[in-house]
Amino acid sequence: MSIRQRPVPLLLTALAVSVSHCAIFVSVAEATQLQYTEQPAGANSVALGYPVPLPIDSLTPVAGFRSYSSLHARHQQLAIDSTNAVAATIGETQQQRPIWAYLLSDSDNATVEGFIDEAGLLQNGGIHAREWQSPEVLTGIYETLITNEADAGLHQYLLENTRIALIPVLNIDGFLQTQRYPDRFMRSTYAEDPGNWPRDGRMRRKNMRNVDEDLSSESDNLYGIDLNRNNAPWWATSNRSSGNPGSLVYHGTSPASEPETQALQQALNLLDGVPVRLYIDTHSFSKLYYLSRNGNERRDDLALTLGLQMAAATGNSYTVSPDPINSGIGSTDEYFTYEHQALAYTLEIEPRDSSAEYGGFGVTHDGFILPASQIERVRTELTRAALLGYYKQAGAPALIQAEVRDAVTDSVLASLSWTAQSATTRSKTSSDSRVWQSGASYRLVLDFNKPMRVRNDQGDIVNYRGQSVTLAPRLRLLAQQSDGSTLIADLDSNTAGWCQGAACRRYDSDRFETSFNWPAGWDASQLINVRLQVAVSDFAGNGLDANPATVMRWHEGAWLHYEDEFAVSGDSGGADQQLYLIRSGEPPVYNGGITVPSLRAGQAFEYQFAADAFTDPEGGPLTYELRSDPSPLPSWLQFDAVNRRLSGTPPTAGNVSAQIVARDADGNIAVAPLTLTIQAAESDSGGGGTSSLVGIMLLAVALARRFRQRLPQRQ
Amino acid sequence: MARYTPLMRCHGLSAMPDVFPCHHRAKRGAVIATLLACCLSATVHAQNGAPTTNGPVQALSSAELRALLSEPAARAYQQKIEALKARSRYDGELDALLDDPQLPLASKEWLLHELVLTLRSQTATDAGWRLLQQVQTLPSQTLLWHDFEGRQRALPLVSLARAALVTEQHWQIQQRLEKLNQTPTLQALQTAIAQWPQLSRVDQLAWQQTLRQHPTRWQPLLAQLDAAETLRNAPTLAVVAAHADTTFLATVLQHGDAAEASALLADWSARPSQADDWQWLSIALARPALRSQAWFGIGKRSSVDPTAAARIETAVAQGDRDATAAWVSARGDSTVPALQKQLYRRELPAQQAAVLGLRLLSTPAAQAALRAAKTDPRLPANLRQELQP
Repeated sequence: MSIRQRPVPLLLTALAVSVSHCAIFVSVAEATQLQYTEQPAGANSVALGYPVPLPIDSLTPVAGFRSYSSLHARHQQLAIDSTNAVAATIGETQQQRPIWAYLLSDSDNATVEGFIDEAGLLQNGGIHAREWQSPEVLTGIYETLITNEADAGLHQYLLENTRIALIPVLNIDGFLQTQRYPDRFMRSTYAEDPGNWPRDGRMRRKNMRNVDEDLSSESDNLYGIDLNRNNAPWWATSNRSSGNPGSLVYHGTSPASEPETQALQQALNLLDGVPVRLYIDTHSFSKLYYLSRNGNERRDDLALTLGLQMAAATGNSYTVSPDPINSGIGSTDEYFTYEHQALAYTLEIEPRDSSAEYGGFGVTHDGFILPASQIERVRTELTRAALLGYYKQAGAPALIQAEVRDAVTDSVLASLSWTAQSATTRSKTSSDSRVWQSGASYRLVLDFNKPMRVRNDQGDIVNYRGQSVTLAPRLRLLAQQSDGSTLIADLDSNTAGWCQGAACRRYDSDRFETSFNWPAGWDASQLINVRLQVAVSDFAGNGLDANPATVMRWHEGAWLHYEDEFAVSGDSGGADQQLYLIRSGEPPVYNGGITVPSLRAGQAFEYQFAADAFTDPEGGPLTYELRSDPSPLPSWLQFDAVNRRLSGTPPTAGNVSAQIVARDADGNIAVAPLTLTIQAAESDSGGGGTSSLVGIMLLAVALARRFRQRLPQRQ
Repeated sequence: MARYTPLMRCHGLSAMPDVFPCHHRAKRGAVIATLLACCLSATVHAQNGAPTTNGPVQALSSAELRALLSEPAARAYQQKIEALKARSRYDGELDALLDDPQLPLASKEWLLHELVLTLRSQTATDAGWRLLQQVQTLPSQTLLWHDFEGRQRALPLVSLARAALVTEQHWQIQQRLEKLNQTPTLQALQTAIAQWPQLSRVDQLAWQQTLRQHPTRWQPLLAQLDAAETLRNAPTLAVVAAHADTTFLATVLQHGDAAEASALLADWSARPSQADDWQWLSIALARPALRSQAWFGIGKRSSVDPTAAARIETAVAQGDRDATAAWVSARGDSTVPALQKQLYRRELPAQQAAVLGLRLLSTPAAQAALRAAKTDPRLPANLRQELQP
């Protein structure tokens, strides 16, 4: 191998490319090999305006870019030091070097609750050789997770509850080529490139198929496959990739033709069968998150939201750029979007346009040569953003244990606990009582299954960088009186209630404690149900999974069994209302179907409503009664409560409104509106249509009223 | 030809998660649609470096640029630039380029940029100064489409004014450098250090370059200076001095900017072994941010320097993973017997360091050693788990 430094005649270059094109751009007396320098240094140099970063041998982070061998040594060292990191080869490069991935997770395959699948997460780095920022960021994420593995906070939580597969350098052959020539490159001889564009050496992007390692043997320097154009399903479908082997974006001969692409797909095996929820391909430069979309509306919404959150978490001016649906370029984020329904991004690390942003001269393509002085900050910012993404995709929080204790005796007066029974279900144990005294003081303890907050250097609860969630939970007591009406009492809550250290369940801020007084005027003996409503989100903005009985999980690009307080499954969650302080059972449920056909004056009628028109959630017996609503019941109308039968002979035309009330053994009720529409005797004429219309309108109003009564009040 | 459109970025999107409470899905959906439209529009946008003048702004593809530059007028100018390179001196023969009304704007900017870069390897002349002054007043109005992972972004074709400024500054530095090189005096050096923050950028760069170009000439004078004080007053000069003088080197390694210190250590570590290496290597070992890097420097010396060899082998035996990685990197398979032996020491750090060393080597000999150890019942089970090659 030799580095040629003397001018090269054009003739040599012209052997490889069309003379008619390159003559436009390649100066006849200039060398095609150039050197990056800090300051101008002659005809064959390109001055950057800042020191040219050279690879540094160091296991630990330095204010610069590490050599591949020392990055690899660092990755292996962390895997040996920690039981939470496993090194695995996922394939070989074109030049048969092993491609390493690192699985960061504890040794079991379940969350700390047991049985429940861990979240599968994948981040790739170094797919394009010249983007040195990328392996440093991946290594920064790895180092941060392992060096903080016992922090009882975010990092420990992620290692114990997710499976994070990191590929620090996918295109190892290409990366080594750039580090072999850290300040050298070849002026492009490709017909379609402007003549001042750099290729190979420090500016190699593609893999090393059909390329030797000698920069001075130029005929092969343009070759190689762009690994980010080598993927299904949009391989070779747009003019953003090329079938020309000399092109910077040559897509190869078929999807996944390259061993590096195959290795990336193999990395999914490290996730042990769980679906990948998040994929980030780490590139430079443009300072944004490209977001791949596939028309799955829920997935695309979630991806946009998370992309914006990660961009904000950098603390820098990253933006998000969503891609069009149903088209692509053959990139890896498309593969994980379309084939695996993961939230998938192409992260382009800074700078936005060029290194002029750091005081450099702003020469073409210098954005790929981040000044060494910037990389420590970049590692920190993008590690912070990635960890937020991992945390959010780990799943929403669930309130898995709650207690109300007597403030004086510390005895448990009401409790709730969820225990995982399988990957999809939790079982509940609970208790309640009726000892509540008006004005008396009680202590509430709420346990969540993840750390809910982060702290600043002073130990204060704060928002995660770039996020904005309400830091204290909103707590309410919801009471139901025997007539079905509701009482609400807000409880005081502030951030001091979040646990720290030994006061926590497992992680910092996974427990919240507060004291409250039983609301004045609430007579426990007169209340049928009293339950606690807890509205809180984790620090990534995930609301609670309000029905912990069914474990939320990732399915086809969205959440499954992620319920709100109305038991509606979606992607936002809601308030938990599972802890009962007083419980007399759920009120009966009116299922609809009580509709009396139109009657006629002077004619007897009989109507029986179905046995399942009302049901009791606890399966108990129900009793029925007919109530006026609002006018007194007519004397001709009879109700047989045992047989659920209405009968009588209406004397005149008109309408009668009433209610059928179902009552369970605890006195809880459900009400069905009843409207009888009586048409005139057969000799009469007109009016029936109007009456029917009025009846329908009244029915609608009554139904609406009833529906409003049954809904807990929205916040 | 595509036209430049005003920048359309999604400003303020970071606040979105709070703007949309989870319940308000319909509203959220509508606003997301708006945001998507905004962001999709922003896929094609110009960036911070885009020109801000009131002149015409255009974005070209590479093919369009190639076509423009292949026109006869542009080719004629290119030939003149090539001819200029052979003469090493500019006397105004391309001044017409500035005002040529026939030349398309993109061609003019490209050619002027080529000319300005060419002047960097030319002798300074009055005609050249004038040209550079004029070019510095010209806006860069042409953008070139670039492919960023399949998305097109238009970036400035060239940065004319900046390139001209750099060339002008380069000439000024060369002139200043000539004087500095003629009279290297201690007093001049001391004055420069004392007045460093007030010196012009040209003066600062000239001083740095003279020290870089003539280290042996300046080294006796540097030896008479207080390195710590120099680092305080003139940190960039101290870093350059550290490439020539080990006292300055030690000072920068101990107290200097981390990026500078790291680059400096890499430079010195690549040099042939010297007797006083331990002075600065010890300092680097004591600074946590440089410690691992220092071991790699020691590792490189270990094949020719018995002191370095003894020191790194001691650290490896004590289970230092940085030293181990550096040692196997420098000494290769010759370390296998020692590492194999170290596997059987009682201390876990020493055992783990040996595993790391053998895994990093990844040679047939190292892999054989790992395989043999994996089934050796004398080794603890938890260690054997780590022994796969």
